[in-house]
Amino acid sequence: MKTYAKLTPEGTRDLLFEESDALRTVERQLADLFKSRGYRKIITPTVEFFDVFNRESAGTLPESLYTMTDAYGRLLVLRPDSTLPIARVAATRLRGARLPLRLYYNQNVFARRPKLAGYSDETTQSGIELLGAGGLRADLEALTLAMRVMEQCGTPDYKLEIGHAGYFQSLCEALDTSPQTVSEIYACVESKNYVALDTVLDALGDTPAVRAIRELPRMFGDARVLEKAAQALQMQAGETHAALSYLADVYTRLEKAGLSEHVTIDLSLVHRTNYYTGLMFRGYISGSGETVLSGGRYDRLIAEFGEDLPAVGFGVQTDLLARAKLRRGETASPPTPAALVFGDNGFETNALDLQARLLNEGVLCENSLAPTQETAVEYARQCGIPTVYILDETGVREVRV
Amino acid sequence: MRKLRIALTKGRLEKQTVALFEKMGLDCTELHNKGRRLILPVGDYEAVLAKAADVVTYVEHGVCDIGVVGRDTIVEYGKSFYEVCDLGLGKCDFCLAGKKGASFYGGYNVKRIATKYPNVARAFFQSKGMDVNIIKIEGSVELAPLLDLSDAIVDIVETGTTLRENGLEVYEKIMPISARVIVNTASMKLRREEIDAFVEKIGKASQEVTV
Repeated sequence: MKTYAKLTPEGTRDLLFEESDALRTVERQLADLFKSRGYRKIITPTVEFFDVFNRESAGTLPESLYTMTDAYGRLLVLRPDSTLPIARVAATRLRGARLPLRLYYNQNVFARRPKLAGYSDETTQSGIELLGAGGLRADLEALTLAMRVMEQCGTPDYKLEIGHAGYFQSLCEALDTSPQTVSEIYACVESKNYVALDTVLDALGDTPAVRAIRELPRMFGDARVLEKAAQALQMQAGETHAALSYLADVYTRLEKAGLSEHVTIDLSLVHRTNYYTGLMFRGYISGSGETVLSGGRYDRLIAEFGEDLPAVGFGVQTDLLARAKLRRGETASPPTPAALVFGDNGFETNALDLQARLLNEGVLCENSLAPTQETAVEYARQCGIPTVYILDETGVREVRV
Repeated sequence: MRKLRIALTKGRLEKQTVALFEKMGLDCTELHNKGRRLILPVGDYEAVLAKAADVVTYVEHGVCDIGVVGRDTIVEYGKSFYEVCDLGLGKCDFCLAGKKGASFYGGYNVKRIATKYPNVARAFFQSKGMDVNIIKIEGSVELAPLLDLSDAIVDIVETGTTLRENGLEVYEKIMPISARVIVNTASMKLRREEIDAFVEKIGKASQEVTV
């Protein structure tokens, strides 16, 4: 029965010392960034009803959910994402609250990932949701905040790619094909499998939309991408495409703010979570092969819970940022205490009193658990602690190590 | 910044890839005299030699930026990265095969399928709405129907000689396979120009070879 008593389940880990310090540092940095901009913290339950996530727009694969049942046999899941629970809260307890609502979270999410592939099932995410505000102003607030996150917690050469859900949608509508084929195309683009994509498209003839989808893999880079897309769509002079002009607008503004060196436009950006309706973005840092930040506008999601609120937000993989920080050697180990207090027999609490006083004065100080004065001093020598305070019937003595 | 790291599939594909590298004008002396080393400098790049399944793993995690690997491995392991270029090397097909003359689709019994590619086999029969019993085999899959372990096999078939010599035949082609260039997602964003340059060069070289 006790075979597993000394193990943690596959996909989970204990975080010790440097690892947990690095994670907490990242989380604190992000919380400061969010709080100072008026975002307030929200904590949602780890366990939610399956129904919260059981929607087409969520794109959650059923096999990736950790499920269980409650006492009444109702299906529960460990939350795979924080945005849907927040949408639920926004449409229920926060209904009628003054808008816009600025919320931030920092909590664990759970997903069954492929085994033996080096992934964690339990990961930590921080992020913001800006609810009740549509349009460019809100998008720019979220975007620049995302860039601030990458700059402070990522690497100086970070990249943020931006795309627009409307572009791919408009192409698919123009295809005039079965929903089955559209979802096949969607899957190919999402998994970046462009060779398979070509095979699907070959059956659809040669229209501007087909050509534009075929061009998708090459549709990322700077603002010139938008011109290329317009060409691929064979747009006439004066004709505009809402998604393309919106991206152009956003890009120009980021350029003006001097941020464009970090920004690339990727028109092939599609998300498995397909609740996005407008601007979408993803962040990358060197030293991490995975996406560390991901977000976008989702104007129709909260309506699914009964309250029609436009919204934009993003989530940050804090564990990936922390791991990259560790790899870069950017974590400080905790400082060595400046002093050790030792209370002789009968003076133990006096020693703890002294420790509290010293800590109050700002002196980092450890309580000695050694049995004798000599062993306490020896311990201080081994740990590199310069001063030992010894308390006994004669009072307090200071010993230099 | 470190050199671009390219994962190469060891074995048959390795020789053909090295030939492509040479056509691209890369200095491959180290690859020819590799001894037991696993990481080798090739021109301005760093080459890593690995088994096919590991190539996709290394690229997915971003410890290698680029990989050259067969489509069979990509489909079987279904990981997430950019698949940017078909090199046209190592061409063959995923096939359903079995004893010559046997009618595979006949009867109502649940069929047994031996394969090295359980995911490919599962997806294939799922698309047909067929419930089959899949048995994972590590070595010569052709043995399974001969020993009556399975009704058929799903495997890659190049010339079909092994099948013929053992009294087996292809029932159905599942999909064509060839070597592909894959790229890690983050690397693609962070080092676009270098990667584009490499992909363009290797693409061109492969066209010269196949023409």
